Amino acid sequence: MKFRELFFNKIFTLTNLFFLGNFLLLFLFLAVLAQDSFREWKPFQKAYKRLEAERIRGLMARTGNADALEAELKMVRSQPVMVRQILAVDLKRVDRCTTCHLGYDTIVNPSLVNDHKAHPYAAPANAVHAAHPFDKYGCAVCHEGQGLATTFVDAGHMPRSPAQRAAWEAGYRWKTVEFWQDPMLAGSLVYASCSKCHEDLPDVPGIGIVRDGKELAFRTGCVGCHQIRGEGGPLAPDLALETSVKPVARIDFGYAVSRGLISRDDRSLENWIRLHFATHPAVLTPGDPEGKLSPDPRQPQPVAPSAMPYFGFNKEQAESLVAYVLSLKREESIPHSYRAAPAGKPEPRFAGAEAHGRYVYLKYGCAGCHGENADRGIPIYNKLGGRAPDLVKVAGTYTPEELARKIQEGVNPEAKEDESGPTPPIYMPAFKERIKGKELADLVTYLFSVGEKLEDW
Amino acid sequence: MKSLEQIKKEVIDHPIWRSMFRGGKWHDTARDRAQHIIGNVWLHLHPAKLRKRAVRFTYTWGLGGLSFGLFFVLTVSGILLMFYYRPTVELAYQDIKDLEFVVTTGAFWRNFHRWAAHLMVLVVIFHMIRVFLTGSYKTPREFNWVVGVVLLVLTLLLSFSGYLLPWDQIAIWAITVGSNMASNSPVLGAEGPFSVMNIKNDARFMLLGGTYVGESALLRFYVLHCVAFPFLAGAFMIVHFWRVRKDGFSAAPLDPADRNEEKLDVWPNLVVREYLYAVLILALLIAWSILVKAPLEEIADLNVTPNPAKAPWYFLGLQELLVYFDPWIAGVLLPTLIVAGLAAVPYIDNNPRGVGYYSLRERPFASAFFIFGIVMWFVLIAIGTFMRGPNWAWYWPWEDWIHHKPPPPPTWSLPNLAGVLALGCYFGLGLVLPKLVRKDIPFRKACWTGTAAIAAAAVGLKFLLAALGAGVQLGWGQLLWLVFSLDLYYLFGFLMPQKHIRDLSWARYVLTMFFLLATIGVMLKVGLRLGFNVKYIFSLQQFSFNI
Repeated sequence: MKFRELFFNKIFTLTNLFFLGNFLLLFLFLAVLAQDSFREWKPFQKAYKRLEAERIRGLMARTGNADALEAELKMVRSQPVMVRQILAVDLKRVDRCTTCHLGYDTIVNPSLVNDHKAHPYAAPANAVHAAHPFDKYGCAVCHEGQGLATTFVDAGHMPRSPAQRAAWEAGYRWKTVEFWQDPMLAGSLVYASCSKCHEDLPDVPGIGIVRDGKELAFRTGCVGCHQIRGEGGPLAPDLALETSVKPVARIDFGYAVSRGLISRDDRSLENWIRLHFATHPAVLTPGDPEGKLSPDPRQPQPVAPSAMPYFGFNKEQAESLVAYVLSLKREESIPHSYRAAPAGKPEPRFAGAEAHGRYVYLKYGCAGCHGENADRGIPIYNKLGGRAPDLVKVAGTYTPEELARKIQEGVNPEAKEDESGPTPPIYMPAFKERIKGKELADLVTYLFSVGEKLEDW
Repeated sequence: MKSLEQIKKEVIDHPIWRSMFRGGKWHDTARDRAQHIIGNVWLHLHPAKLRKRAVRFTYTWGLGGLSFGLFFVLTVSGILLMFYYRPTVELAYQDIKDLEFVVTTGAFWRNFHRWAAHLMVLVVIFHMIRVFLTGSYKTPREFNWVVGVVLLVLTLLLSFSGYLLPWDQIAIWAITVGSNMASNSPVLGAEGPFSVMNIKNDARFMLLGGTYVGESALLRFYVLHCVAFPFLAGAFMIVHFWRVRKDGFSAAPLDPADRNEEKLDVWPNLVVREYLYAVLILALLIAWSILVKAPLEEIADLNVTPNPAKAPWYFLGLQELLVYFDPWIAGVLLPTLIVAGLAAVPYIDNNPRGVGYYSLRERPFASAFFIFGIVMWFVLIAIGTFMRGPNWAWYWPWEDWIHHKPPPPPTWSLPNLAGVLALGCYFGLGLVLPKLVRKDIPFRKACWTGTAAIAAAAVGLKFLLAALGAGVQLGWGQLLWLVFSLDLYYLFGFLMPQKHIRDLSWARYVLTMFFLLATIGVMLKVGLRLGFNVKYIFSLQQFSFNI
């Protein structure tokens, strides 16, 4: 009772609450200002100023040229701590990367080259950078990421390796950037951006990863099923279209996440492409072979799993393919004057019909289903026989005319193994619009040259 | 050395101070304190004195004042945001990003504005609940309740129009869902029944300035949000406060004959309390805004529909109703009925008891009906918010939306004849039966026996079906739904009105029963759909009349 009285009459009084409330508000107001003024990028700018001052003092000690350097030191010290940004007007981009990466700010470091080793201050000499003035291009048009951001996480930094990822998680509380379609392209994946303007991959060191990917894609026969800007097979999505306009929200990561192949936070276009090479695509897109997801279970509508086979690429091959597929991306917002049109390349010449035929075989992506050497058909769900034919085995059962007609007309639909099961996800498309004349003749010649000869009875 | 009191007195009595605050020297008498209220343009909406009970926190919970306080801080923070925001499709999203990353305290003010807006919707709803439960809308305050209903609608519109401005994915899709409801209005909407409009001149077109959420919609919503709605809300608020003052504050004396009730000076007793509530809610909001970022998704893209696309949370109850009714019923008819019903409350409820204090006992029917409605509203919102995932399928909160779910079992509709009979029985019997049964039914006993009978009948039905081996079986979940629905109808649709409102005049009685049966009916339809997969009870496709 005594305490109650004391509490209500002496402590919990309106006057006390009034003052307490005001102090609370004042405290919170200061907290808002504190939160606003302690911004992540400020220490980076201060550290850069320190580094520069040290460098100049070191230079003074070595050269003894104190007077000339004194002015430079003064200039470095007088640089204000502020948000720095590049307005790439033509590209309609605002990049604030130089707020932390001060070595690349034209006012702070006009030469855009320095000797600092530590990130984010380092600015090594770089031919690509030299050819693309930052005040015109900014950073994110090539590196991707959220140029508007001024924090480490929101900028969309992407680690190059699991070790770096762990270090960032510990040091910067890194996670993948939320609600931003294009996180940064880590490591040499950045060369995938070159083709946004230079459709023919330019000759710069480092772009090898994209070239390797292109070469590998050619040998693998991706265009047998996929199109690239309308060129290629009609069976699977257009890779250029997918990379250019497919938002992450439209990608069905459901199965990949439920099977633990990828974490929820790592959902991105880049990882979606990567998963297609690192795991079996039918695991990513298992379809609904038993019709369990049909609107009406009494009338099941089975859907076959993804037809894309697991090609068994090693890590390096997979990365180069990721780089290549990403390089197919086109950005409408880039003005035409920035784009270098591809030079028309002449078709390579071949000594014989067989060599030309093999080139045709790869060029139209036959390898995608029948194997690089026409000897290994890929498995196809619910197709009669279960797989695409090994051409070396069956070529001999046809006459050349029959084989040519088969290539021209295709097989659609393919016969089912199980009649109640789903339609086989892919079929042999008709090539009559694309392979004809000498190409067709030489392709047939090639196939007969590798095909096993039937024994004469 | 002067004491603090002396300094305070000298400051207050200084000619400069006195020139600012009307009146002579400050003597801290009752007259001075009254003069302080009357002589101050901001404070003089208060009376000079008020009853002691009126300042009790547990009477008002400060909710009306807080609604205004939140409107005020929203105006202030909104003005600050307007300095940086340009309402065009190219710039809006980038301006929000600039607020987030560059502008000094920009992120804070954006968070603050967003959270204060959500809080205001909540506080206004709770204010309405408080006013209802204390019977404050009764004579002579009927009209002020109606003004309050208008203000509630304006609050929702203010929040809804602000939703679009960040121009991100949540924004355009919430507005798309919301504005599509307008196109389902009868007559005036292109997709509504009896439509005389096309998509280029219907209600949605007027709202959006186009056929989709684009540049004109952004500009329209900007002007509505920053100018039109605040102006209207301000105007109605002035009326609202003025009427509170003129009609008298609702904490009326229990005994009107007792004229000698002790009264308090408003300065400082009420003013300091109002200030304290404001400080408290501000502190809460500021702390929350420091810690929690306002949502901002990818830039708006009309080509990428999120699945599911959800309306703002306060409209999710209506969006959830889209599952059970035709769009024009869920999106236009029911909200209109809710608003009309709320506005009609003081004119229908002529029970003179229970003004100025909480009294469930003295107003059992009114309180029970109102609480039931509010609970249902929030339950529907909770379902829409937490239980609905891709394709509006049912996902429990612990289920990840990313996983695939088999589609729900197919629905079926009652034949129209059966539907008409069921509806006729429901409304016809419901409307007359409670009034026609004149004798007193022992309430408690009837509750228990009725419930027991319903439960027994339902269990009996289940086992009967099982014994017959019929094609249709009753699961335990369905059994619960059945008992709940029938019991709800029996208790709420018959016993309660029979006991409490059978003596109303026919007009009042029919109006009350109509609203009651409609409210229960919505709940029953929800049960029929979720428990028994019934799509429609009655369906006239030609007139888009499907319920």
